[in-house]
Amino acid sequence: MFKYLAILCLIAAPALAQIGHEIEQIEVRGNEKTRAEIIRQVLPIKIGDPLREGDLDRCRVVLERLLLFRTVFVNVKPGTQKGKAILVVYVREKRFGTLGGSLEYSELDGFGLAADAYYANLRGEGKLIGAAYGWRERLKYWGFRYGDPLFLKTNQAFHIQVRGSSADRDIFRHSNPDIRGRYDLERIGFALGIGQPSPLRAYHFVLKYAFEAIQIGAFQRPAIATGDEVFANEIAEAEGREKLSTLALHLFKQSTGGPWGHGTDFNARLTLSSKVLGSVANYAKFRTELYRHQHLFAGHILSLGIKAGGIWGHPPFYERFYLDGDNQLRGIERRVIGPEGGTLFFVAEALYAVAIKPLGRIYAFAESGGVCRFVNDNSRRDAGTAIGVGLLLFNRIDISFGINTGTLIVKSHRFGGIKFGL
Amino acid sequence: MARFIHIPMLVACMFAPFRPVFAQHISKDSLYIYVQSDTLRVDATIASLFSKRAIDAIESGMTTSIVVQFRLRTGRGDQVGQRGLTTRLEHDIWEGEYRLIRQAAQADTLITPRFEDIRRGCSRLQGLDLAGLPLPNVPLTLQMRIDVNPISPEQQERTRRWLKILEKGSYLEFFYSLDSPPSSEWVDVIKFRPSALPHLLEK
Repeated sequence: MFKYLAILCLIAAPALAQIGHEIEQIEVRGNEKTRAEIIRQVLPIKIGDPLREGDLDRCRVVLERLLLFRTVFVNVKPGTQKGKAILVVYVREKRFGTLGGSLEYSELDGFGLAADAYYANLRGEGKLIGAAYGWRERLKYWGFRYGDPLFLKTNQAFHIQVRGSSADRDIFRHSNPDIRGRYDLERIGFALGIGQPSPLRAYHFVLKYAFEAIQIGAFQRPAIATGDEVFANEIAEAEGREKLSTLALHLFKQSTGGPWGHGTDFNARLTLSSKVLGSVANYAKFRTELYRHQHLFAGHILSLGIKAGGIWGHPPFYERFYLDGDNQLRGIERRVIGPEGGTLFFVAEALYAVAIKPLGRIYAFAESGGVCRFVNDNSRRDAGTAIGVGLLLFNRIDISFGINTGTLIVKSHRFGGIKFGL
Repeated sequence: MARFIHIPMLVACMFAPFRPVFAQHISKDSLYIYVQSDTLRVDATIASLFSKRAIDAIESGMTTSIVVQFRLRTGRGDQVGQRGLTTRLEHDIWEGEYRLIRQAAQADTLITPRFEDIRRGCSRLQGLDLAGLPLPNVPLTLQMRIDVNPISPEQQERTRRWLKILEKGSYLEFFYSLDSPPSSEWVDVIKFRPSALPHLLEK
């Protein structure tokens, strides 16, 4: 696969004339409240660095993620000497922040509403406070957030979140809800994170500590015995309240071209939980995903991706990997594969999409996913493959149909809403 | 022989308190309203067309849309004529070149390395037709509205996409952002009576 990716990389967009020029100055324009040095510090490129392909987009994305600006524009002009260049950043600030509301849908949680509000740029230092609330058929969540892009005047971004959620979960898949069994999973806690761009510019490191009180309740045993009832017994034993305390290292890179845009998405997260930290269990969890979206020619995109993960130790059942939510497959119903979750999982997919303007994209896909779990020294493995076609409407609603499975899956995120920039 | 009448005028651009303070106005000496070929026309020079924010955006290389609109209203508020001029300004900061494209029936383009040429090109309005004759012989008020909006490539793309989607009448993509600044307000430029205007003969 990597060989193929390498060949695809050679078909990259032509380099711009400015590439390779050394940045001699960073000019910030349009800022009224935000201090220019704040903007300079958060940029992934510094004075003296050579300009590389994609740097302008990376700078734009970094500034847009601060949620401080209505408009961000990054450009480059010739410097005072040959081979040098000046990076020009133009921003138009939000006066207050953002209020938003939208409709949402997911296979796991059903339809719902979401609302969020942010106050941006406290004291002109880029600090942000915000709140979010969501109500879905099977999930309710709320959260408060404080973020500082330059913690203690260093190049470290800091954030703190207080959040809670209440989810209604099935134990097995079955059309009759009285048969499949269920439980409630409630989480309330906080997270502290500190992060910085890596020397590779496009990548970001985040070190995060999280503490959560987990409540498992309203357990209903499945009406039919499945898998020797190991999973149902496990949930029954976990009923009650327990604490989860984790330390996580997160490394990620996102393409700058938006959803289904050209580029590479990379994400890796290592989470450690220890009783020393006050947690209910000792375990180490690693999850990674790598996607490459390649424009082959106008309107045609080939996407190749893989997700994989493993857990070592004794994780609580809700921390295992399930093929739903973020791991939802395109042509296979959620949790049909490995409903008990796995300590090892993988998902691999290839997708060929053709743009149909202005509707979105049609695509063909092939995917495979599986989970593995060890119970009493025996491994329980489950895997499946789907081949099918799909339609991506307005880059928001992803409808796919597995031809060999006869399953229709709708994957979508926020598909309608309104946002007030204040 | 052509004969002009010099009409003193004053424009006070009053924007809402939360808006940036612009000083766009038409100087006293530069406004001429006249009749030519059964058409009411205006010559004018706009002073301080570009705010500091607009200049910042232009000097960063953002494409900027400049819309100048005039309208004529009677004392009762009836509108008897409206005309506008839309211009797009592009700036290639790597090449150091400005490109001013006037979007009209007869489009024309000015390419120059000097911003002063651009400022002059945008500010000077010559023979802009306001309304066809006859006009009611009552006092009319000439009003002006100017919008100078920097547009990033992402905004341009979003706007294009929006226009397409609105044409198709889709509500699924109803992801509306109210981030865009409101249009500027109409301000009074001058009051006059059409019968008192000079007639400019065609050559």
